[in-house]
Amino acid sequence: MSEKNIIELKNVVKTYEQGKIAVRALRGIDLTIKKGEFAAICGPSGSGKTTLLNIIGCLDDATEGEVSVDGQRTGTLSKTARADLRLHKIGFVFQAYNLVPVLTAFENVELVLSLQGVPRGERTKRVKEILEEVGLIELSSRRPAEMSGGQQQRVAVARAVVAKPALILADEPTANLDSVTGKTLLEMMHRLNREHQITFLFSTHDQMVMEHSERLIHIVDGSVAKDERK
Amino acid sequence: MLLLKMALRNLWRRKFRTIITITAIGVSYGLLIFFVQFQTGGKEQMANTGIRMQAGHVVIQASGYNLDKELDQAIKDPGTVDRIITETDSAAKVAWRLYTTGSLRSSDGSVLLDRLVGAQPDRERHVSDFPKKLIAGTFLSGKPDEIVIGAAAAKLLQAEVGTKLQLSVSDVNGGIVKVSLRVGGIYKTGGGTVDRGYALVNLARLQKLLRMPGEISQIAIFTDLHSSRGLAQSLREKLKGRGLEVLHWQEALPTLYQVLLVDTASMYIFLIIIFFIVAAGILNSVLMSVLERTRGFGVLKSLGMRPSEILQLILSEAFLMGLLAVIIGLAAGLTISYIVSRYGIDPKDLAGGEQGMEAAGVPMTEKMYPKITAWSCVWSSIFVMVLTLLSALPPSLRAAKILPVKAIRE
Ligand SMILES: Nc1ncnc2c1ncn2[C@@H]1O[C@H](COP(=O)(O)OP(=O)(O)OP(=O)(O)O)[C@@H](O)[C@H]1O
Ligand SMILES: [Mg+2]
Repeated sequence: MSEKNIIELKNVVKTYEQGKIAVRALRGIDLTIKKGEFAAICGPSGSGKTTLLNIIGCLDDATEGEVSVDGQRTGTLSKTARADLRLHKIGFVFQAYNLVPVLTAFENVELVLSLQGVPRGERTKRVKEILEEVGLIELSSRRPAEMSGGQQQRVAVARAVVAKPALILADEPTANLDSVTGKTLLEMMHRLNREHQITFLFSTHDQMVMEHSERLIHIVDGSVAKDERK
Repeated sequence: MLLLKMALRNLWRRKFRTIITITAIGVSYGLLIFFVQFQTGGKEQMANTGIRMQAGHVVIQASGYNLDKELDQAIKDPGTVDRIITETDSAAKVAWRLYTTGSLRSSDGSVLLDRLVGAQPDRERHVSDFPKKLIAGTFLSGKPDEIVIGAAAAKLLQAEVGTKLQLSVSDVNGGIVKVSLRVGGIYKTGGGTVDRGYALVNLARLQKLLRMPGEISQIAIFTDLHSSRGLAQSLREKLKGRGLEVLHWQEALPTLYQVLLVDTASMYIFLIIIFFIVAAGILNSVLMSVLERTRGFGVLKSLGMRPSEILQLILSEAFLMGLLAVIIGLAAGLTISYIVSRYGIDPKDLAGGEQGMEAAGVPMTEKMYPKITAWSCVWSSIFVMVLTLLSALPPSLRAAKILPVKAIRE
């Protein structure tokens, strides 16, 4: 296991039991992502992109195979240990933004630091910095319902980035945004990737995301069909 | 704390449901407090009435003495016992009583006396309820031929204060003794049995009639409801070997005690009703909000919130609801208790009858008042809070355990 690898997958299989039918969503994936990469998984709908990201992020269990995140095998971890792994090493950005509706933009971002036990003063400083960086400082006190989709997604990115995790998993982050907003967001993430050395792994259908990515992993029917670096 | 803020805002987001749940629990809890306090007050009052009219907090009698039956089972040397009582508890009030049965006759009628009491006028005046219940004449004043009777008996005998009555009793040897007495006072307790079948005469006079000089049936001791058990215990030890028995009021008035216990059982029924209201209210409210927010919990988990923190979040929402309900309930319950304790409730209004009400031979005619105690507030609010958290636990655990991906997909 290399120090430089943030993600290592060995022969990962995921089978969904649906009544008597077993859906084989992942059929033996081998994949290594290095620290600092800006990579995208692409493939047709139903090919297993979301499933793969969920398993990497410990939101779901693999049926077979080994998953390591930042050198740590995740398959055997307890629920609490997985929560801690997510808290300290992984940030998520979802297609549907998924902000906490009762919290303001500021508090949504602050929540992660608060869970980490960062003291209040430092929390405020860091949240302000990151909201500044994503250009949302004026909207700090807005609730999600009072923001546009693009603004919400920027808050979601800020929330994922604020704790400087080693890895950010973004499942179709631009799918609900228009192309201009999507592009801004993508450029923002790319900048964060370079400035903070945060690894990004996307899943996407979006041509623009694919063009921005430095590496494209094609998945078809639960297997890696092509892995191209630019 | 951000978690607390979230809990509060989540409750606020579902204002309508939250308010309904809190109000339902608060109101029923308020009723519980009032009910408990009113019942405690009523029970203590009944116990006190029974104790003052028919016994004492502690009663001493010859071993095996059965009220109104065997005259020869008497306390032969009450003076010594008196001294021992004063040594044990100098604040206790003491009264000597000699009990028998008999009959009263006037030119117009007659009544049977279930209980004719020979009492010490000076002492009895301070411990008994009868002096307070006089509607005519005076209580025993020491005149040898006076008798105090109840209103119902007076009516049957067509007697007034000053009317001459003939009393027949059997003395210690079984001989019939007849004597002429004058009505000194008439009382009315409202209790049918007591107002007809009870009468009081001077102790010395009755001792003479029964040929039992210096002897009495019972020594009644008055302290208070709560310390009397300890007093009974120490007297029991000190009086060992004298052929006497020391009874706590619960033993001296077993029927009354039973009635009070039944009353307590009705409180448990009330507690069970509250139990269901709280459990159903909280369970419903928490379950619905957990089901609605499953996706939200999935998101919180993806951010790195631990199962135990999810549990805390939901339980703190339930806790806040329970706390508000308890505050509302305390305010409402104590207000009702306070108002009722100022005016009292007439048992006649509760029973809806004019006739004298009795429970275990104790007239219940006085207004009843709630007894407001800190302890009743403390245990009942703990009861509600614990119940709230327990009811919220199953849905909270469900949310805490669910696999994040399942939650997010919902
Ligand atoms: N919970 C589930 N139960 C059963 N089958 C599932 C479940 N989740 C996903 N699948 C199946 O697994 C396969 C992969 O699904 P996945 O969501 O990973 O695809 P995807 O590549 O993300 O698709 P899209 O681009 O539409 O988001 C699909 O065939 C899907 O039907
Ligand atoms: Mg998908």
